[in-house]
Amino acid sequence: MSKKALYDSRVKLFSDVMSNKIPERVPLWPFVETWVFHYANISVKDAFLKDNNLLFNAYKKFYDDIPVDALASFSNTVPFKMSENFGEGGIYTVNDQGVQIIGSHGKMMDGEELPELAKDVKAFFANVIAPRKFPKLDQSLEKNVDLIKRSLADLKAWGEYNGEVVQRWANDGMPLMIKATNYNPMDVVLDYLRDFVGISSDIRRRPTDLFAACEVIYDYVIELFLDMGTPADNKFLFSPLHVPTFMRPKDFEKLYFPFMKKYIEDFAVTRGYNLHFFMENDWMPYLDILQDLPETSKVVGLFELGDLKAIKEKMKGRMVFQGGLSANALKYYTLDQVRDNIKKTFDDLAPGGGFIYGTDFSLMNLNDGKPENLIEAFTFAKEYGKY
Amino acid sequence: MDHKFMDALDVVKEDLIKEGMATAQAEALIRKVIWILVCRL
Repeated sequence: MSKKALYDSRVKLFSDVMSNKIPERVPLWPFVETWVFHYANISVKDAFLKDNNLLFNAYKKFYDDIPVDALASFSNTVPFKMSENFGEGGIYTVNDQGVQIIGSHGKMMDGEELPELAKDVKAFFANVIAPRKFPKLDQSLEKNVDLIKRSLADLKAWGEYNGEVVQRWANDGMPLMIKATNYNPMDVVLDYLRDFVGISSDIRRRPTDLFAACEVIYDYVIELFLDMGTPADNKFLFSPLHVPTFMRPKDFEKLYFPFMKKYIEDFAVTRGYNLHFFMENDWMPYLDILQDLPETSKVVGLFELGDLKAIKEKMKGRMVFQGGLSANALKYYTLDQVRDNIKKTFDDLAPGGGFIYGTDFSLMNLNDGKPENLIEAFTFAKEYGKY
Repeated sequence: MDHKFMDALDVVKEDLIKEGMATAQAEALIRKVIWILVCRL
């Protein structure tokens, strides 16, 4: 089979699932990030910054050894060289072992500032948050102009560095199925503006201000995506859902769910994009609320915890189920146990289609999953998952 | 800080347009830079 035919056959597994068809077999799509560099004995820092052959080769070794149908991420999602221009203040750093978070920079504003953000999010981000986050911006206008221009050049180079690799994987028959990330506005507030304590307080004390801020952030996120002119095709727009399972269901229904529903209506229903939600933690208490999502086959939910069979059944018609391979199975199971686990998982989740097999978490370090268990899981699943 | 950071971004945007970039594209690029500063770096 040619590489082109191989690529097309892999993508077809997903397009069948997303069109309510039964594919030839269950698609195999684990979320594996910096684990691949440890497995290939390649420095993460060198792969991200020095030589994109290393980035290509690390994932190639992974998919040559482990029979998956697609990649989920290229891992190199932070433009570190661009970040260096701005000095101290960045959240992330990278070393040979992986990406690290530096300290706690999630709280960049007070709750009392939410109305100011809601008035003009672009101006608030540029004039208030950016200088607060990066002290180096306290310099002359001319120096900041030069700084921005250098950053733009680094941003362009980073895009080309990654783009070459994604194209090489495609030429090698391996699709990267996620092509953009869009955040729910409440997750933006949690991750980058108010942190956990702050947003928990906002939910209780100023829900109206929080909702108004989220409305303008939603518009900003969507405008950013539409700016790119990305066409709707078989690839996915990814959203990691961070804050919901830390909310009481009634708060989730009032503050988070409206943006989730609107996003599905705007992008899956109206524009035809495939959407992918990484449903972190346990969503069992929220499944009744999710019944008010639009009926569509264009949304995948990757579920981490809970009664997987019950989740799949309850979300049928609204979300394709992804997951089934747990951290425990990858870390601790014998190979016999891995196979037994796959038989039960597929017997529960594969009938009727609407199922993508993969890890229920992102593998970052080598101890997140034994290589022999990953190899066995996907080798066995490729046979057992035939319809 | 003796200026608003948006002023510096606007100067860059105008320079990009002078260099031939379409206005909408330059505005989109500035929106992206702001987003990356706050929510990616």
